[in-house]
Amino acid sequence: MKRILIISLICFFLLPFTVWWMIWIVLSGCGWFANTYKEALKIGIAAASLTWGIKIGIGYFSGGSILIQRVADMFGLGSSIGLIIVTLILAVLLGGLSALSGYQLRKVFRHSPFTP
Amino acid sequence: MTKLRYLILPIVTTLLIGVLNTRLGTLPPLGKFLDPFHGYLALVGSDDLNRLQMDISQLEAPVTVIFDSLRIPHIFAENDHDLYFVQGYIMASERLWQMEFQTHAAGGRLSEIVGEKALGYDRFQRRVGMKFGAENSLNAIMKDQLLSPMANAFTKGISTYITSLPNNQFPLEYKILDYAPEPWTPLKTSLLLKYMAWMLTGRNTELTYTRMWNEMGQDVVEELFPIYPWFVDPIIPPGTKYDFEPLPLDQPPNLYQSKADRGNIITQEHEGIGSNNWVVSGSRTNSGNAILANDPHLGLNLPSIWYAMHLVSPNQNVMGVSLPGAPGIITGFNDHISWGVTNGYDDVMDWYDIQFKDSTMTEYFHDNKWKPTRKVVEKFKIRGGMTFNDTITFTHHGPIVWDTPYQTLSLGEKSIRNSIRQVSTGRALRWLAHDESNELRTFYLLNTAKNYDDFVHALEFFNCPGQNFAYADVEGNIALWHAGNNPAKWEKQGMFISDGTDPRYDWQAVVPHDQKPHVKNPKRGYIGSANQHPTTSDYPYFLSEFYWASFRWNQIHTRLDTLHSASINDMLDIQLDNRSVFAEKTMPIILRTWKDHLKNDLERQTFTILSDWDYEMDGHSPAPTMYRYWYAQLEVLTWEDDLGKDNDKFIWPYRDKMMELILTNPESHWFDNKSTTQIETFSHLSRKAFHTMVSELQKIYGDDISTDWIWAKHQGTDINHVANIPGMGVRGLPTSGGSDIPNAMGTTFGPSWRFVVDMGETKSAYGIYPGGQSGFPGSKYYDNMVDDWVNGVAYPLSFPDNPAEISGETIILGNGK
Repeated sequence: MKRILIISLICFFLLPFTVWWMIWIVLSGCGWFANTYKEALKIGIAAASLTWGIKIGIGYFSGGSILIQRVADMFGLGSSIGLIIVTLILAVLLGGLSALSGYQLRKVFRHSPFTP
Repeated sequence: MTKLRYLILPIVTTLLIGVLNTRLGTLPPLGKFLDPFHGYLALVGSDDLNRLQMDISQLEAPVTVIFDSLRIPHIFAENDHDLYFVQGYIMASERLWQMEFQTHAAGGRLSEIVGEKALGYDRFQRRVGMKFGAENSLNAIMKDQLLSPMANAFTKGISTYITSLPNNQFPLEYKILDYAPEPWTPLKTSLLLKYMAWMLTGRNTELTYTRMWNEMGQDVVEELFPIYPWFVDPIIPPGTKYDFEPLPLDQPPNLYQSKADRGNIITQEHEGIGSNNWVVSGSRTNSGNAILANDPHLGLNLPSIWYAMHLVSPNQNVMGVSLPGAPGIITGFNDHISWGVTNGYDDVMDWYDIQFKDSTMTEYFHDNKWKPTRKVVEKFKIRGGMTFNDTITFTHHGPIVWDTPYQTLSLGEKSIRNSIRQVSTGRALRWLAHDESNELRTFYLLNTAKNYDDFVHALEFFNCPGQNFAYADVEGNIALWHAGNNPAKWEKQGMFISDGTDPRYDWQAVVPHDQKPHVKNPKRGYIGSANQHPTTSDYPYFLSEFYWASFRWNQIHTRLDTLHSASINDMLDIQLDNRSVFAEKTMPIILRTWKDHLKNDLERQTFTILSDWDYEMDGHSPAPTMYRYWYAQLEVLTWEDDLGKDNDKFIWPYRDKMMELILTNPESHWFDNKSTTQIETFSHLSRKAFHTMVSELQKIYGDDISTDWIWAKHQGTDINHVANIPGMGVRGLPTSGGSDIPNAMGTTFGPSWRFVVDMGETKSAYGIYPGGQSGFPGSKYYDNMVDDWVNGVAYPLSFPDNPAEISGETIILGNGK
């Protein structure tokens, strides 16, 4: 839990100064260092949804409710909640995939004990 | 090999992120857009005025800007350079995307944003000469020693704002459409003015009239579309003498008859949209001061077409509405004068048959000589990297808008068909907006004018779109000028397709400034316009074959006539007047045709409601729905058998012609249905239309007339986003009024700015427009004025020349050099 909080905090303060996909690189890196699939998945999903979720919450409560509603209408989602849920699903999907990708990539580069 | 399978997921994830970084169809790049750090949510708070850059080094002195409770900026500068710089800067901070998008649209550059699907539209914009005209006008602006510094300062202000924006702060629409703003240029301002010229003069009836002449005779055209209809209440009071020597014009003995057998016909739809302005002299007001009222009616969009501002420098103290993208105030008031505009509706767009030597279109015959054409290659960048070159042929008349390759490629595209209204293959277009002109000079001179002479001088420079400028000043003068550099035409010149070989059909001269229709301080104590005929038929020049019917002005005229101690509230009330003059004059006759033929309870109920109707197009009443629905049926029954569908081969005559037939000739052959053996009259058609109206309204809305048939539900008003982005507009507004009503409200058009000013030494001014000052859809100032606009409220406008007298949020820009 602590690890997830630290990752989220780093992402939260780093992202405003980087390109939008940098979070997925960071989470891939976290996945690389995970010990199991499950751990990678957990970190990716939790950190992504926490980082985006907090930012969405701040946006909503600092005057963004009109904007979120308009964008929800643009997508035909009807309500702000619908748009927020869709956004968080995207965070979960990309967070999970990114972390798992990092985990998989490590396997490509790791020495196999069975290699002659 | 086994290890490579571990690459599958990373590759899939990377591809997915790539897809989410790309715009697909009409969807924004979803990943980038929904990312709360870089996407739309990064814009939360972007309408906070504190974000505006405070240390602008280009300013010569500090500039104070105070945003009042409506978020109208009051800009106090120590010189004109700083004033226009900050005007551009502030305008961009509120409306950047709108400003740029409109100029992209005008200049034929939408394909750069939305891709190949806009290429047909873009080509049309270039072919009709928008860029050509804008470049010509830019020359005039840049040569003008007074105006070029103004245009340059304004441009620098906008560009300074653009460069101050980090990528994640680009306005919302840039994120949705996934592109970035580019530096502003004076050409964009010029394009914006051409965009207005197209909106207000881009129409003509030549092809439909010519076809009608060929098939039915010239006399039929003149009967159905008379230049001076039966019911005309002109701008310049009847009886005004035109005691000047008009320019001699070389007129051909017989009017040229074009074959006009090709081309598509798309003409202006029959909607009496338009604008009103009037001025009342102090002798008829309770304050003793002259009062000016203006409500220009346009297509309604968000962000609004107008942006309210108050500009102060040692040279001027002026307030009103500006066009986002153009410096100065377009309509408003200063310490000394006030002015308001309505569209002049003069015919400044003529088509010419061109005789080419061969299919290469390199030479054409004119004035007994073969003359070379000019070929211009227009380049189009298309989103995705493609480019397209289009060759446009120019004659001295103007561009060949439609040639065979273009027509073949572009027909059928709805966006084009809606915008061009009428096309004419292989013909040259002469359009006043092509000419070098300097409308900005007019607005600068109006903004700084001190008296009537200054006002008249300012209008000398106004070229296109011709406008009716109403005027009131602190000395109590009132006036109205039908301004614009209209071509001096002989009778019916340009009414039909013209002979491009004969120089007598060329525009031979411009109406001299002092011969333009105008009136100052008329005896009756008021003057006004509502897009109707500017003059009676004794005015010596032919200005147009079409003006809107006089219904709106007639009602305003009637109201003003009864006022001998008019107040600002009276003026605001007239702007909201919903009375239908057409209904008032015809309803008693119409009711007689139905009275003894009522078939059921619903018809009896409908009859009773319309019998009791006060002719007010009130949104809460079902009567306007019944009356307008009945009228639409009557039009179909009257014209379709003779002329086919409206806007197909021919257009149908307008309401004033129908009123003439109902009142003076109810047994006219036009009412007879050619497909039946019996002879129909107005009574027959009126009854049939009545039965159809009741049964169809019942099918659409049910039996509860008082709740479900009401006008606000039937018509209502939508204010859509400029780029029609869903969710960014407001829809289903419960409005009253309608076309040909002073409160000329429609489904997508209406009063774009209601404004009244009492011209005392201390100004008392009120205004409102259907939108808000901010162009950011997430701002509460995006549409905050809409509800009050629907309810007919107007806000008092604060107009002091001392910043200390304005309460609001203050920012100081620049530290001085």
